[in-house]
Amino acid sequence: MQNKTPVISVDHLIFRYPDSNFKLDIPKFEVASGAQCVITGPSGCGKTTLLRLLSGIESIQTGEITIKNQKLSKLPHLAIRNLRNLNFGFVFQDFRLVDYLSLRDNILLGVTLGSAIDRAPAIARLDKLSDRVGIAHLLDRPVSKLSRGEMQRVAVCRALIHNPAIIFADEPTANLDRKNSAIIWDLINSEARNNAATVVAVSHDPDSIDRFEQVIELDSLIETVAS
Amino acid sequence: MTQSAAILRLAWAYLASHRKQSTAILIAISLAVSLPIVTSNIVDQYLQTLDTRSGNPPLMLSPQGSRFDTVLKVQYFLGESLPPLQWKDAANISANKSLRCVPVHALHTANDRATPVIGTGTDYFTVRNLNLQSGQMFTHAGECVIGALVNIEKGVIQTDISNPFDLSAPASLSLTVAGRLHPSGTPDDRAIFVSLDTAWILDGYGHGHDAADQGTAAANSSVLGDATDGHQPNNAIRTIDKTNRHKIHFHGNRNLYPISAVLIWPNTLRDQIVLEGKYIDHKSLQILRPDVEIKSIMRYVFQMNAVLQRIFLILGTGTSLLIAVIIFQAINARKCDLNTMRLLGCSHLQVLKLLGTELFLLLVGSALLTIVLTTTLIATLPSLESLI
Repeated sequence: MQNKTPVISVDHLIFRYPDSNFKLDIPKFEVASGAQCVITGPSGCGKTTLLRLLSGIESIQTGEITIKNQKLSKLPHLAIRNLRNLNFGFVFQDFRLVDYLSLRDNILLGVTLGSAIDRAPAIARLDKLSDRVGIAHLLDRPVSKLSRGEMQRVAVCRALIHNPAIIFADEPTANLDRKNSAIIWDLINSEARNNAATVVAVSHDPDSIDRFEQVIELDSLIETVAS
Repeated sequence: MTQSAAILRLAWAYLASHRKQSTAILIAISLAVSLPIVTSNIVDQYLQTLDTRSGNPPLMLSPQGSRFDTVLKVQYFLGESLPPLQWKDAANISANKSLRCVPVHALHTANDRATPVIGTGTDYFTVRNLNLQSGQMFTHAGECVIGALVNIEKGVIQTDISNPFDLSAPASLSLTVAGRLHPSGTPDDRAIFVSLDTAWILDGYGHGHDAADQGTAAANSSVLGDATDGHQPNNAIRTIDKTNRHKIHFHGNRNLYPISAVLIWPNTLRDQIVLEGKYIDHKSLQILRPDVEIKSIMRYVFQMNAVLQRIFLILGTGTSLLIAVIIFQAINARKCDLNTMRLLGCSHLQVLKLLGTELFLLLVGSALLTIVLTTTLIATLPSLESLI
């Protein structure tokens, strides 16, 4: 894995929230293309912030993040948005589903309102993907009528629908039982492998961490490589 | 599905899931737009009605009294009955060869007071340029010619009793419809025309008896009470036809019979000025210029309309502001959803397109509702004339 080209590299990244003592200071790390990487650490150490910085949601203050050979600090906002829309898939901790839309519309939201994604392949993928996560029969139901587990699956489907190069997952299995948690991780990992996508996840569930080949312990920034 | 169709679908989903809010906006916009249109339409119709014959005829002879009410009654058949003048006054002025005079008797109604019954001569149809669409002109007492918009049942018009509280009031008549007029776009379309004799029969000055009933002495409240040979029938003839027409007879002095006014077309301006001068200090009669009276009321109506439109403008501005606040609040309440779109990297342009489509759908819905509301209100609201 170390020989592979890094798809994400972080160099001397320092980030502070205004009016807060919080400081994220990361000297250096890389994630190889196609790698499955998990960021762990105690609550409040900045895992979600790091994920937001990597995905261009938060702007870089000091240091540099390079994604697919593009330095984020040099990219204009519009380009970062497009990069996010085309190349990234997100599974948010709180799902961030639009409650008045159906499952179908939620899953296709980024594709419908994206500027550059070709809708046809995504629509073609929808049935297969929703079938795999067991929500195919619910596609026209409003999200507000779903259980939490079903919402989680919808959020995963939305992240994968456009075959992203990098999947960012922020504790996607939080509050799920072990069985359902395994289903979600299996889905994310297998989809990523099938499409040679890189996964960067945040988790502190030991069962989940074991699934990843690269573990970034944010608290100590000790990088370990699983066998 | 194209991207635009998908955005339309998302916009519809939002509006459908916020039904109460969307409906409130639809109704607010529709009312704000349709009310001024409806008001303006009603006022325009009224002004148009007034304008149809404001200067035709140039003069009018009537008893002293409200000039405008007289013009409204005689020209447009609107408002309550006014004190009449006597036939001799009409005969006097009609004797003047430099004037063309047409008497008008507008004291009766039919169809539950919905339709005026106008007694006049056949000259009326010539000066008003009214032509028969079907049938023929009235030739006998008891016949009528109806305007283009008058409804009839079984070829008969039932007149109203002039005073239902007067037991000795003349009975109503069933008028035989002799002909129907072409539409003229004037108040004549809504009127029933009869000869002056028929009008006087409706007044009670003329009547017929059944064979077995030779009549009684005049009752105190009867119009025949003033007639020296007055009497009234126990069973008056209610339908005049060829079998009983010969039984109809009149009582009293014809010169004293009532008419509402005389329409006057002077041959020259000089004739007009002379006539006006002649009646300028008359104790019981007056010469009116209908156009002057109508213009004065039209000015009031214009002013009233202008005030109303200003009120609607203020209301419309208030409604627009309210709608803007609702939309602003709705966008505020959707901050989380809009932020999700930002996080997913959705294009600014596409998100704006989504919000624009929602607004567009609301406006299209409002436009449709406005059309329905405006059409319904215009069709169902009574005209201003009918309220007078």
